[in-house]
Amino acid sequence: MSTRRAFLAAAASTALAGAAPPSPGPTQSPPPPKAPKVSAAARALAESMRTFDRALSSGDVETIARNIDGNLKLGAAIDPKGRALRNWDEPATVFEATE
Amino acid sequence: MNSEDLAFSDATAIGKAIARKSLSSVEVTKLYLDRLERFGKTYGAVVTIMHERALREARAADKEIAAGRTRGPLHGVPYGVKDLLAAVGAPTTWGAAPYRDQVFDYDATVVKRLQAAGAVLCAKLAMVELAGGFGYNEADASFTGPGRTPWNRNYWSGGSSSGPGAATSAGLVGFSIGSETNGSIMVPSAYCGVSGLRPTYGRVSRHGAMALMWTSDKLGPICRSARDTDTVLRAIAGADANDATSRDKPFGGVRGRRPKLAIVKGATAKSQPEVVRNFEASLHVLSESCDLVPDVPLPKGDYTDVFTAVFNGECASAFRDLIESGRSRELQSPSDKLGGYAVYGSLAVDYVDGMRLRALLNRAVVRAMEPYDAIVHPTLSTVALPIDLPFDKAYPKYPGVLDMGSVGNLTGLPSISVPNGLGENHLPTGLALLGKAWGEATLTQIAKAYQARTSFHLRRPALVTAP
Repeated sequence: MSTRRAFLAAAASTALAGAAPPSPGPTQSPPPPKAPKVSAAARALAESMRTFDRALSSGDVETIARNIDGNLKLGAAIDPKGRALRNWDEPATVFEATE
Repeated sequence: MNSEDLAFSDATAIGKAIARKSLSSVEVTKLYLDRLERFGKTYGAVVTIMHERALREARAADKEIAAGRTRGPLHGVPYGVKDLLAAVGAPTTWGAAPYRDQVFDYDATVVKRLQAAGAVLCAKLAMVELAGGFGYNEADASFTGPGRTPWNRNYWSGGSSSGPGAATSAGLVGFSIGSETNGSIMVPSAYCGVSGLRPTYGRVSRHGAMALMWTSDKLGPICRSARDTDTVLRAIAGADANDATSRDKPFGGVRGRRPKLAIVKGATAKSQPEVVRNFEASLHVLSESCDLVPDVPLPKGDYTDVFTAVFNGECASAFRDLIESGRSRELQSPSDKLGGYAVYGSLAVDYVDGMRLRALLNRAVVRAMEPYDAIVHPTLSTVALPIDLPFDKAYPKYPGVLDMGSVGNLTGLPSISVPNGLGENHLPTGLALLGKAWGEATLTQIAKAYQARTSFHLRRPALVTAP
């Protein structure tokens, strides 16, 4: 996988296959037509949340997908093109073996 | 002193009156229990009033003081805690319907330490559900309803320590304990016109507190004066075997010279005019006791997004059981009902990258702060948000340009907010100081000097009872 985006695209197709079926009882109106396009990966992850709550409506899943998409974009944006982080930069918390 | 004056006295003054036996702990405890009953629900400030435990502790305090044994400045002083701290004798609800019957059979370390200091626990105070972990966008985000600032109950008290802010401002407790992961002490302190201190990460044990983000959760005092925040923090600080992040560290302070403050560049950009005016007036007052350096830039960095990347991973883990149970739908806020699923869907690699960037930003901020004792800025760019509007629709013209909350919480640095005037709709504004790690005493020293020259912390809201 060359990029995170490519990984997410592949993950989307896999996750969609295993996702729970849509809820039969959508209670909310569909999202407004001008809503920003949500990635397939985010949509797949959002659909998978029906595992935990089968009553999630289509509108709920759309909202979750938009929020997951925002988080995925945020994750990609915090270090665009890997400029800030070098291989050896350790995280703020470092595991410590205890005696 | 009449009962209203007593209710609005700071904890230091109440403690002194009890110590010299001109006031009994039982007397002041009964006063606060009565006020909690009268006003607690009006301001969405209270979950459980602890009559039995409070009176038992107050009687014990009076007995000890009568016998000549005094435990210090908080002996006999009534207080309340945010309802994410375990305490024997009341449920610990985390502000959230799925946990409203949750009971712990032990006291949080902070509660134990205040008990050892002789303070009297009166109430579990309201909070935003799960301390705001699932992304609420409105004031009505707790099973107890919205927290309301005592300055005008049509406006929010701030969150997530909504009850501690409102109860302290309304004179319903002597002082309170809140928590902050990102803004939850500073915001209610500003919106309610009280003095709140967010300690350095690790200064205060979180044992017995709800976890939201292990690498950013802090507990700290919300009080009616800066001197109280210093007194309460010293009572609750220190290492605890039950919290591996807690430390014993000296308090320090500035001696033999004037403190040097950096005025952060962009501090008042895109802020309400009254916030700007009050901040400039505060700088004038601060210049009497401190040296000020204008236009100091923050190191470049995407503090908000890095914080969010780390937050998502830890919050999802902390509440994995709730999310996977499908019971998020029992939460109050529409955003919270679905927000848990969004953080659950975040990537592990983003969390780790966030923590790696956090280390870089931390070093940069520490370097930038090196010449100064603190950075000064308005606590927030606006006054309290209205209860009846989504947050993002309240003051769209005044978003501010700095996210000092993410800067301070990402780096674990301490901060204090004190009232510095009134703004739009006669609501309080706040002045904030961001300090160096373990530099709380420097912050309270500067804030005490500010309050010695001003009277904003002595102003009282005119309370009403719910219609």
